[in-house]
Amino acid sequence: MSSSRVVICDYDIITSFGQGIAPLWDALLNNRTSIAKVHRFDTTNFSSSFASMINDLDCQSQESLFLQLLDKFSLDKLKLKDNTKILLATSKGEIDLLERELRDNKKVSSYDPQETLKRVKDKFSFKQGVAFISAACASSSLAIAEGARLIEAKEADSVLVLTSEIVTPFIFSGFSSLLALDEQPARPFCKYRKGLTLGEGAGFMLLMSEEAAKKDNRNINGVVSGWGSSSDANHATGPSRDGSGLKLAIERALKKASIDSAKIDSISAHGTGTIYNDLMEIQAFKSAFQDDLKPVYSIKGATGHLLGASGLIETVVALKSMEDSLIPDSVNMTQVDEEMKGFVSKDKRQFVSNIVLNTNSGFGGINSALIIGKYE
Amino acid sequence: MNKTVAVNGMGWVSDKAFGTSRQELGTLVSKQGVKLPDRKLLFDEEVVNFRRFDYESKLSCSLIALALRDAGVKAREKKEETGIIGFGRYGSNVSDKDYYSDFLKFGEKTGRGHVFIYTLPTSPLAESSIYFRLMGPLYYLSKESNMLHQSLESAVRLIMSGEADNMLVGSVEDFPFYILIGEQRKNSICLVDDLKHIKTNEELVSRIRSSDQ
Repeated sequence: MSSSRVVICDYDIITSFGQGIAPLWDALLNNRTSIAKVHRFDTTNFSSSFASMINDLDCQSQESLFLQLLDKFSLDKLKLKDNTKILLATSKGEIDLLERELRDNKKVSSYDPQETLKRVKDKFSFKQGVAFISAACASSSLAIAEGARLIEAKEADSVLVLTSEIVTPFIFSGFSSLLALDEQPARPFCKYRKGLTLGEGAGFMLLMSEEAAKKDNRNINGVVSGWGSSSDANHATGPSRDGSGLKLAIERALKKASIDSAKIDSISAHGTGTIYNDLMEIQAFKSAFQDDLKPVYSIKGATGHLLGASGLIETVVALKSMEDSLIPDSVNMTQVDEEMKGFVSKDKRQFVSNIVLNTNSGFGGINSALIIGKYE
Repeated sequence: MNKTVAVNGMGWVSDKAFGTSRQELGTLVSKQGVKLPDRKLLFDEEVVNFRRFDYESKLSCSLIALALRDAGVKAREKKEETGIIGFGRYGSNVSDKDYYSDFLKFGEKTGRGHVFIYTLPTSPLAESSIYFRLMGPLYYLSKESNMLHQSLESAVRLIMSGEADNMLVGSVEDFPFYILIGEQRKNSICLVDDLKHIKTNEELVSRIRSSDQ
């Protein structure tokens, strides 16, 4: 392999807007949210009754909701080589199996990462082993980074990243107990934001070395130019107030991409809608970009917080943003927070973007930064 | 960049004892049905909320304390370029069951936040990163087979690519251990390459303990 550039070939996503980027992109450009009252389970005792749910999942099925989401993808069409590495990224995986076992005293299938890996392997008839990567809400972005690293090190020429996250009483009650949920649909970067809203989603992304992609005549949709991660080393659930951990991840990604911050055209932020996350991100961006702040947006007012699946789905949105030269709305934001004025916008904007920075941060202070470029 | 990556420190805990690459340091203390090294022997400063940690977090912090001490690294000094990869079969299963059983016990009305925060496979790694001020990459890996090698290879890649100077790699399952790997130095214990053919955690600990130092 002579080229070590890591390119993004095929991908697909599912959110509560439907399958593919098109319905999500349309919603983002038209300020529409999929967040609605939860009907799948009782939310009476929780601090919110809202989430962004995918409605055609079968809670009575022998198959977990997590796997049902992944099952919507036709991975056989990818015609993967036997040596393609498979990375499965999730924070809570098939947690609904554990709930059914403990609540209904009905063991459908065993709940643990090893069993999940076996089921994913069997479902898609993968010949090779699957590796499970978990890094809280940065899981899929760190899996993309791991895939890119494998290709850069020439230990693989193709890596498939899979991700899936669901919303269940386990997850909902947990976030509720931490007072992390907004009683209204999440309003990232809004002056009136009060918390996050949970969401369901899944996706896959095929990363390849540029040379292998060309040889296979694959469509090339973008480039993973840089990646970096860090830990805040600060708090189990809350982000570092000064954004220093995320800034470190951004600096590492810029270094990996061999570019300076001026080259970044726009920022796809984690933007959960919690008071502290959004403020932390803005501090990190201000610190990393100094006086040269870039347009920032978050999709979580539309999709809810997709937990470990966020990074991959937001990377797909970033590709679309570059393709259409548009910065999408930060849905649900009615009035921008004073700290964010000037670079977070309520409305979509025409903007030629060739390089997007995508950031994610999770519990335990895990930060991730991906630099995604247009393929030229 | 060509670097030779070596093991520079190790902490381990068996059924009865605990130690470093160089020596067995003591026997385990049993408290409330859980056996752990006496934390007074491991931590110079109080670990905030240690009593509230789940078992995996307590064990991870203990093993990392031993590995850093073995490598001669100051525990509370900020370590921007040191990360952690934890691996295992079961992720956060024990805490998941604890949290959800508790939630059911309370009539599905409320969950306990301080239990919920341990329901991620990365929670023990995060608690360790907070106490030891580790700011490098952090994630959890699982695989049907070869997890030990996949984790070591991932950590070596991070070091070789310049994304971290040092990585802690380990597991709290089977024969719990953590090793600190980084660029080879004069008093390194062994090369990571020397561990290629090792299959289990116990073999790895035994191999490192028997290295000429």
